[in-house]
This record gives sequence, C-alpha cells and structure tokens, in this order.
Amino acid sequence: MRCIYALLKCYFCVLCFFFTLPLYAQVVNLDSVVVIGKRHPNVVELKSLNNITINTENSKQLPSILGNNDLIFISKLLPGTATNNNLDGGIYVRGGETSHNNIILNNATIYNPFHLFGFFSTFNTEHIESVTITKNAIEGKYGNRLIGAFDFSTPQSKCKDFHYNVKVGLIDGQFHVSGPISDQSSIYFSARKSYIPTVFINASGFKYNFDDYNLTVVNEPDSTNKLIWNVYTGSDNLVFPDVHSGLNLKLDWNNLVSSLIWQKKLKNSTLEQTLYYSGYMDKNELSQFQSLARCKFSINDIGYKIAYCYNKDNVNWQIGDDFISHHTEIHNPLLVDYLNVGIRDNSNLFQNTFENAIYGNYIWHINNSLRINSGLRYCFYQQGNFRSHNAEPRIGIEYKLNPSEKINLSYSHHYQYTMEISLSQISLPINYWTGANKNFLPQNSHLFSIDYIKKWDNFDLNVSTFYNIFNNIKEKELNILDLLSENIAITDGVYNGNRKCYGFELLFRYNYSKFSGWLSYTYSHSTDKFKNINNGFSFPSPHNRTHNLNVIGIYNLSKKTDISFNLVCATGLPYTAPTNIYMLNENVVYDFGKYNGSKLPIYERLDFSVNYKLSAKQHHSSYLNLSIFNMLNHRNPIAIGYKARYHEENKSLSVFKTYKDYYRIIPSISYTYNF
Amino acid sequence: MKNILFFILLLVLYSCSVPIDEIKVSNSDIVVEGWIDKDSVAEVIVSHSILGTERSESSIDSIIILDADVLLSDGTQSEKLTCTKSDIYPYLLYKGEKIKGMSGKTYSLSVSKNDIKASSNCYMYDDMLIDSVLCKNVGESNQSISVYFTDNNYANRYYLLLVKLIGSDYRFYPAIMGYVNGTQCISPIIRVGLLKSIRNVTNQNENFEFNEGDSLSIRLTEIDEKNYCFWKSFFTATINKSDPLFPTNINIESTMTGAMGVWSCYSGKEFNIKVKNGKTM
Repeated sequence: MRCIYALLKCYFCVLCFFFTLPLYAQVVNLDSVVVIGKRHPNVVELKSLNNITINTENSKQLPSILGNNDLIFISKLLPGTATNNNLDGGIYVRGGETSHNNIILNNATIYNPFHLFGFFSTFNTEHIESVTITKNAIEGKYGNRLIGAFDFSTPQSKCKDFHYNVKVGLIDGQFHVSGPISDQSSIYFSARKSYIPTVFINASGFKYNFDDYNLTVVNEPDSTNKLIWNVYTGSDNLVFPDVHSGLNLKLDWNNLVSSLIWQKKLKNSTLEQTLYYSGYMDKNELSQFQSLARCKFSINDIGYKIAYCYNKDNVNWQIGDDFISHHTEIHNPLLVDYLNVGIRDNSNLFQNTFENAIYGNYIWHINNSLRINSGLRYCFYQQGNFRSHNAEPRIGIEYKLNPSEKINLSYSHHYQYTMEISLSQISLPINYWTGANKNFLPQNSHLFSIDYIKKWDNFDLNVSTFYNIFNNIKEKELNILDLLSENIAITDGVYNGNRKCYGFELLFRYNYSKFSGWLSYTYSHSTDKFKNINNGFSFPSPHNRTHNLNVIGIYNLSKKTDISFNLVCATGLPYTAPTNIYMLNENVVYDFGKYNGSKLPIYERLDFSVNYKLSAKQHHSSYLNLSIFNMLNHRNPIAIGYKARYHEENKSLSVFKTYKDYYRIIPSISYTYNF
Repeated sequence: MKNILFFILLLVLYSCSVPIDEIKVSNSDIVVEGWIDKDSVAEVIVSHSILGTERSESSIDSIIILDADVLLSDGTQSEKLTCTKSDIYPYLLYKGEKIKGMSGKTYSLSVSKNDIKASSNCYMYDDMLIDSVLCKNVGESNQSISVYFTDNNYANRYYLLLVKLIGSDYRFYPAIMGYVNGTQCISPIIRVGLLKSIRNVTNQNENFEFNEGDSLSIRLTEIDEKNYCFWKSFFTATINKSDPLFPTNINIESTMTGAMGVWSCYSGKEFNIKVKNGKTM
C-alpha cells in the first residue's frame, strides 16, 4: 500500500510537471521573436552517467538553500547520488560512503568538504568553475578511493578586467574579486563568513560559525606554460546541545589546502605537474551529564602528481604518477573528570603512510563506431612494516549505434588504503582517517556499469545499470556512553565487511528555449554483510534508498525573472525499529528487531526559487534571490521513537510515537551585486 | 498567471499525505522487574509489552499482569508473592511477606503465566560503605555530586549506586551511569558521579542533576556481572534511544530467563545527605 501510494505520488509529480510543460511551451512560441533560437544553458553536461559535469554559472538558477547554490547539494539531484536525510551532508554514490569518493580541489584532496550538516559544502560557488563527478573512473588519475571523484576546478585562465561580487544572505555574506595583476597573471579571491547564529534549529544553546577563503593565482608566462596556485582554508565551530539526551557537542574542524599546478603544452601533448599540501584537523568535545571526552584528529598530506597526455588524430594515451605522504595523528578520547575511571589510556597513534601509484591509459579507436579506453593503475602502499601493492585494471568500451545513440560498458577495480572511520551515522566530523594495516585491511571495489545514451534536439536520455562490489569496508560500532565512560581505544570496535549494490539510473534532460531541467530516477539495492553485526546475516546498507526521484525545472519567466524548482521523492532510509515496547524502571524501553529492517517514511521535498534581476547595466548588475527549501513543509524525520506519559487522574498510560526532524521549511533571501 | 495558479493548485494537491505507520510490533511478552532489598521483602512488577501504534491509551490495570504465579526462594524456604496495591508506580505489584533480604544468600525468582515461565537468581553481597559525598555547584542551583568509597578488591567487582529523593520517592532507583565496572578503576579509592535516575513515564523533569536543598538517601551495592550488564545496557538504551547523532539500537540484556526484565538483590547502608554547595559529608 505504501509503495503504491509513493508510486502514485511520483507519477503525480511527473504528470504535474509534464502537464504544465505544454502551457509554458505555448508562451515560448509567443516570445520566440525575442530569443531567436537561443537555448537555455545546461546546468549539467555529461559524457555518460559515469561522468557528469556541473557548470557553476548555470547552476545559479536552481533553488538555493539559505542563499547558497551549493554544488554538492546540486549533485544530489542527479541519478546515482542518494538524497540525504536532514542533518546529513554525506555523499552516497552507487552504494558507497562519503569517504569512498575523492573530493578534489585543483588536484588536492579535501578531507571534510562540509559545513553545517551538509547545507553547504566548503566550495564557494563564486570561486569554482565546474565540478566533474566520476562514478566509475576509467582514467588512471582517479585513484585512492573505491568509487571515483568529485573533481572541483577553480578558474584556469586569465581574466581581462576586475570584477567584484558581493552577496548577502540570511546567515552568511560572500565577497569575490577577480582581475589581472599583470599582463601574465590574474588573481581570484573569495571569502565567505557566517555572521548570524543559525536560527532554524530549535535548540537553545545552538551555535555555529564557519568561514571560507579561496585564493587562486593564474600565471601564463607564454602560450605553452601555465601556473595555477590555489589556496583554500576554511573552519567551522559548532556547539550543539541536545536537551533530550543531555548530550553536548563542541566541534571544531578546519581544512587547509594548497596546490601548485604547472601545465606545459608540447607538440600534440601536455604535461601537467602538481605539488600540493592538504591538511585537515578536527577537535571534538562530547559531554553527557558529568562525563566529558575530548577527541582530536589530524591528517597532513604532501603529494606530487605528474601526468603526460598525448593526443594526435586517433592516438590518445596518458601516463602518470601519483605520490602521497600521509601523516596522521589519532588521539584516543581523553576522559576529563569522569568519576568511574581514574585515567584513560591517552596514548596517541601516529602514522606515516606512503602511497605511490603509476598509471597509464590508452584509447583504441577500432573504427568510427567502436572505441576502447583501457587503463591500468598500480599502487604501492606502506605503513611501517605493512606493505601492499595492487593492480587496478579499468576498461571502457564505447559503441556508437548511430550519431545520436551510443552504448558504454565500463569496469574498474579500485583500492583504498586511507579510510575514514566515523563515530556518527550522520556526517558530523567525529571521525578519523587511518591508513591500512594488518588490523585495517585495504578496502577494494569492483565497479561494473552499462550506459545507453540517446540524444534528440531538445531532449536526451541517459540510462545506466550498475553493479558494485565493495570488500573490507569499515563499520564502527560504538555507543556514545561507552566513549564517555569506558577505558577504550578509539580504534576498537571497527569491523570489516562487504557490500553489494546494484541498480538502475535514468536521466532525462529537456531544454527548450525558455524551459529546461531534468528528471532523474535511481533504483538501488544495497546490502552489507559484517561478521559481527546482525549475527553475520546481510542487512540493508544504512544510506540506501530503493527509489529516488528528482524533477528539476528552470523557467525564464521574463527577461528579469527566472523561476525554478526541484522536487525530491525518495524511499525512506533503513533503520532498526523497535518490535516490542515495554516498561522498566518507570521508562519506555524497546526491544529492537531486524538490523536496518524497517524504513523511515518517504522523503519528500519541494524547493522553489525566484531570481529577480534588479538591474543589469554594462558595468554593474544586481539581483535578488528568494528560495524556499521544503516549500510544502513536509516532515522528513530522521529518527522514530516512542514516549509514554502516565496520567494520575485516571491511572492510564498513553504511549505515542515521536518523529524527530530538526527542520522543515526554510525560506531564504539573498542579494547579489556585481560590478 | 493561470498556469502558475494551476501549478500551485497541483502542488497543494500533491502535499496531501496519508499517515504511514512503519513499525510493526510483534506479540506481547512478559516483562519482570523485581528487587529485594536487605532486610526487606521482595517486590516484583509483572507486566506485558505494549503495542506501538501512533498513539495508544491503556489503563495501568490492563498493562500489569495480575494473575501470574510469582515464587521466591532463598534456598531454604520459599513463598508465593501476592499482588497488592502499592504506593509506587505502577501501583500494583507482587509482594512477599516472610522472606527478607540477607547478605550471603541467593534468591531465586520464578514467574509463570499460562505457558510462559521465567526465572532468575541473584546474590546479596555484603554491605558496601560510602566514605564521603562532595557537592559542587555546576549551574544556577544544579549540583554535581561525587560519591567516594574504598574497596581493596575492586578489580573483579561491579557496583551500583542507588538514590532516593527523601519526601518524594518511595523507593531507591539506580542512578544514571551509577554502574561501575571495577576493572575500569585504577585504585581502591573510587569516585562515582551521582545523578537522578531516568523515569520518563512518571517524572517528566529532564534535569538529571540534583538541586541545592534536596535531601537524598544514597546506597552503594555490589551487584553481579549479569546485573551490571543489564543496567549498563538499560541506561545506554534509555538515554540515547532517539538520539539521531549517535543512535543506539542495542537491546537491553535481560537477567531473566524466559522473559524480559531484571531481578536484583540490593544491599548497602543508607547514606543520607542534604545537598549544599561545596559541602563534604
């Protein structure tokens, strides 16, 4: 019944959308004189569903959240990337966890790309040119992770004039400047800072602040050489008191990333070298009642990448090397003033690990219809006496059925030696990254996919089926009271397991002169198997949504006004539900059933946005953005429980279900001024 | 404009939803909660589990099982406990008359109702003595209370701190995180934080610290490993059961065989204090 209802609603959404489409199309005909043949710019460009690029400039028409058009937020409207629950900013691609994607900014890894429970990523849209999402990476340059990469690029070329951008939103302000500093060089600088304590979470004592700074310098001494220097730093401070459980969190985390890229154009080839530093640190203080635990973690990477690409006629190949030195510092929780335990073992773990991968790719143009992209990445890894080296073969076969239709078959094998262990099921930075060793075996994955692509004038259809196998993935089972009261090491209770995920993705894009958007649908089935969890039986993966539908529309209402919406409808996430409720010590307590055996209610959300140009002159422009997140105020709970109340007057007990959702409708307004 | 209105109308229609109940509750089970204090008779609450629906109202009489056979034995004598009215929630419990708690004895409880039989044993240890209690101001009137005791054989023992607010509580309740595993301690002088117990049905007060001026009676009792595991899992499950940041879905480790619940033997001498900032008693 529930599924039928959900399907009916999905059908209704789609019907609603397409029913309104012809009405808008009618308007298009009337305005055709004004917009002669000009198509709406695409937000998303794609080679296949394994390789999607989001253009920052075009994405500004989509509904923003709290005045920010976040690229990671937009990526979750695409097939294969699951919708998140409230408070969870994680990126879950084709059954993988957030840490299974390499989040890269100008070739340097960013370990924690989230602000405020994922409302924004650390990537300031004004400073990012595009992001390319790779789900089944054939290219050898994408490694060290089980799935693929979110590859963010800052501007890569010089600019002629100075350009300023100021944006004022409800909780943060942004400033961006770009301009030439010499004939050969340009500078890009962006700053973003929150200035008002967030008001939408109804919890007294809640405090949150973040800031971001980006600097990019592009230097082109001649037509064959280019240097790009990029620095990003960002920090967050969160105080989160949960009055219901008495749990107080104080979290501080920050990223510092810097990369220097040298691109040299040679005859029919390019050579690119990158030297980078990537640092991430989090400091946490967790307290509940009289117990207080402090945790600290840091990782510092120094890396060097070199890639040589040869392209001439039908001969394309690439070779490269990718070296990373990780230095991690993992502190066991320091128990402060807890009364049962005298002194916790406060020994810290220091790790120095090295990864070096050599790779090559060769594209075989068999004939006009058939192209084979083959690749091999070979990685060497060392941490102390623990050494590992593995080959990662990859192959992609592309067959053109006709000029507008093609089929892709892809397979890739990946190893991940540096892995994230998280203490929270949502993407709070209460986690640490550790290198592989005899206790933490390297994770590996096998990714298979078949893609079909068909293009028409105003539409294109992309369909993909995938089957992913993940081995040695990690799950930490630790409840917060243990952390606060037991003398345990942070590395205890980490289990090794396997995951299998298969599914089907569909992306249908439409682009009329005034109306554009897409419809994406994902069917996904993902199961985990851990020896120590659920008695060794397989169970649904925690972030798997069986059905995930997104409908996105952008409409140019007039020269000054754009409206857009995105509708999200997804199956609820799995959770472990109580099967029996009983009373003990004057409390309601549960007996839980099958691990992840139930599903939360269907996730539904409609976001709406209006962009209104206040002025558009030659040297300056300004516009106003009004966005409403979850316009229909739909309740999307992240936890379900029970409460009981005793009524003295009639000696009766009422038991009622409780739904925990921290926020619903969030309206926001922002003003942008460009000059 | 008509198109936009039409679109909005469709959205309003879309926003209509039907309530969805996700939790399927299995058949009800017997739940036993019993204790025997030193020099007192045993008290046992026998109830059954409650159906989890959107909202349900039940009279207490319908939750408590009134016709169970509850038998208590101390190894030499046994008695059948009778269901009587009581001053403590849920106001109906099974009470003994002749067998009273004594140190060094094992008490066996068996409960039967139709085909269901449940049983458990507990051992009553010698009295543990509290050395001192220290109060410290942590809020406007909230007090952080530390209880000190000394035990040279702490390494293999488990302890539980019980507390009663004089004037309002009719019995002792286990304090939040008042369970101590001796293997975690590093010296014979042990300090335990004292908080109220969690009673979210009868006491809606979410402040778990005591206030200045509260009169308390505190007891420290040694318990067996089974009881320690029960109270540890009980507080873990109760405190963080709906916490979305660190969700807990562990099942409480019952000390009973054939039923959910706990059967406990509590010894320990009462230590009475009046909470006052900076005061050591």
